[in-house]
Amino acid sequence: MPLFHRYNAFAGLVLVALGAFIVQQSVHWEFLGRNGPGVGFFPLVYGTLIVVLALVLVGKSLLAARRTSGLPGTHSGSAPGKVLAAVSVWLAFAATVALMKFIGFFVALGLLVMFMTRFVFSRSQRFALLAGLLVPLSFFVVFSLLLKVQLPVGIWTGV
Amino acid sequence: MAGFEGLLTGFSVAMQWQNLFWCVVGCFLGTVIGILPGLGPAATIAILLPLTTTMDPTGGIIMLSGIYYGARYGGSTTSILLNMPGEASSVVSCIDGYQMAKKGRAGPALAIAAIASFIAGTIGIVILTFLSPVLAEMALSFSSPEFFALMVLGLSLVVLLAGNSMLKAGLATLVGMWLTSIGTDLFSADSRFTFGLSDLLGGLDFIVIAVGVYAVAEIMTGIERGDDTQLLPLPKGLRAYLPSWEEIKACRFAFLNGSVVGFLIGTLPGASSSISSFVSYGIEKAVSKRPEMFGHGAPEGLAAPEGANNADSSGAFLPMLTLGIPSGGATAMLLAALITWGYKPGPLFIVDSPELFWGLIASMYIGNAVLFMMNLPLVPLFAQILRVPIALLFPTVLGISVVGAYAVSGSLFDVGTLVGFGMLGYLMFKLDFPTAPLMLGFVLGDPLERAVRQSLTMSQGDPSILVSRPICAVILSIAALILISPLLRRKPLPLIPT
Repeated sequence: MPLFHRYNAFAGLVLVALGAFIVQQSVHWEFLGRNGPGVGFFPLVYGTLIVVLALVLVGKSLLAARRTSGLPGTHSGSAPGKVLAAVSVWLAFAATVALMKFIGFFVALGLLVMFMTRFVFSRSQRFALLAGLLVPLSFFVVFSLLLKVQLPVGIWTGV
Repeated sequence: MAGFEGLLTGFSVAMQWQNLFWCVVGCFLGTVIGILPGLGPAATIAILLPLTTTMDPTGGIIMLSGIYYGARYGGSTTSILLNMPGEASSVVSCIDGYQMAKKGRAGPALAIAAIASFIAGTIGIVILTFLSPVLAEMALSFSSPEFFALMVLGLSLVVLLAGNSMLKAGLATLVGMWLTSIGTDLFSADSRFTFGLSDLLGGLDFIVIAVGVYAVAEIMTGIERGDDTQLLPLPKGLRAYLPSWEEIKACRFAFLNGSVVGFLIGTLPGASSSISSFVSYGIEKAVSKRPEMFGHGAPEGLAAPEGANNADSSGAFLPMLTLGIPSGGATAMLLAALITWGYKPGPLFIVDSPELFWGLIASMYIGNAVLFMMNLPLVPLFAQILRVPIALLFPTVLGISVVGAYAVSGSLFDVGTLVGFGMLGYLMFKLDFPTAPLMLGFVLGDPLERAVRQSLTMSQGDPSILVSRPICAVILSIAALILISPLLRRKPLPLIPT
């Protein structure tokens, strides 16, 4: 099965599960009360629609996959290396947010900048180090000093 | 004439020095982000929105709007000099703009883009000025059932026009509606889909979702694209930017075509600005006496889409300000900004907040003039922005996203949610799910639920109230026709380029 259709079918299944969850939750809530629709009315309607449309998406993807099976793939996806770079940035970003509580916003941001400049954009160690120092410093000047914006937990240590 | 009187009030507000300052700042930022590929106006507005909550609302909305329409001006620069659109709205400008630049006419091409943007943008604002009070007055007679019908119509258009698949656009809209119902119910104070987390009792914040889906996801897709910048040489001296009389003459109809087509398409929810550009380009080519020149550097082939994508941004304000229905991601962001400041865009907005409403409209006239003056002499300066290394730009944008999400409520939970929505936006991009319907579903989900529940309460549970009132019946019939239209034809309309 071509990758694009396989991913579409998988996305459809995830959405079927989401729709089923919404329906399952909303049937426990009031649908129609004395004063009109209850808390479960709206979720039940869109939850059911999600299930129906997602099933159509799964069906269409499987049919499209059957039609194109054996043919050369037509969907030009990105190179795996580039996808990996994008995902690694997201993982680094998630780690930065998780670390922020312990090491503070500026240190965490500096580490993210160094990671991205050195490993994602393949800049020199000196460039990465300098960027890792200057970008958080500019944040400190612009947001903390000039705009007086509250930054996430602590300044350097996360205290 | 409500339009004239209102506009006079508006100019007295917009001409205050602080509002003028924010207008220029917005236009400048808009041009910059329009030039930068990989960072759109929706993402920029989302990032800046939390930082503007402490600003004066008039100055704040003037600046954010300036970013929105200013980006349309900036987008043409990269299309012409780089053959790479800075914005989705500038895709069509690459076709003839880049060809003109390759023939040594980069200066006149940039000038034609700026002139077309100015003329069409101004005509769009004039239409907006005089149509807004009329539409708002009409909408004053609407009650919950009519608003329900209007929102259904808006969402149907979003589903039809956004993205390449109605099915995926529909699913994205419904998921947006689900996201908006997370938290405490408006009527009964019961909690829904909170998973026992107290952080979710207040619901998900629009800004956090918008920054994640737009800004974080745009950084990820930008890294995946690995954009390369090879600028064509810029002409030196202002004289080199002047187009010839023949070129201006060839663009006469294109200016008007872009203005009208752009404004009309801009009012449609879900119709992206690339649609107005493509349609106006198609019309221009169809009526041209020399269609063979299109694609080889025809100035009118640049003027029509450039005009359309600017008039389109004026058109997008009409349903947002008078009906409270945003037409896309960026206008959804502007609507959220107004709501955050305590305003209620809709039919009563003009009456309740005339200074803000007319101040914003007047600032758009000023902003258009500022952009015109800014874009011609400063193009060489703006082009230097493309030399800012993305290795520094991208982590900086991620850092600003964190600051923006944290500023919403001072909670790290929101920052974590931002990370999650960043991945969702990226997956949607990879799987070709449009993001605008998700955001519009989120914005309209709440008022839609309120409208349907109020309507059914009015009728004591009788659903016929939604179809028995004449205006409702007409609007819902149109919505139904829109939704079944793909089934009535064999091939889908080539409205959106793939």
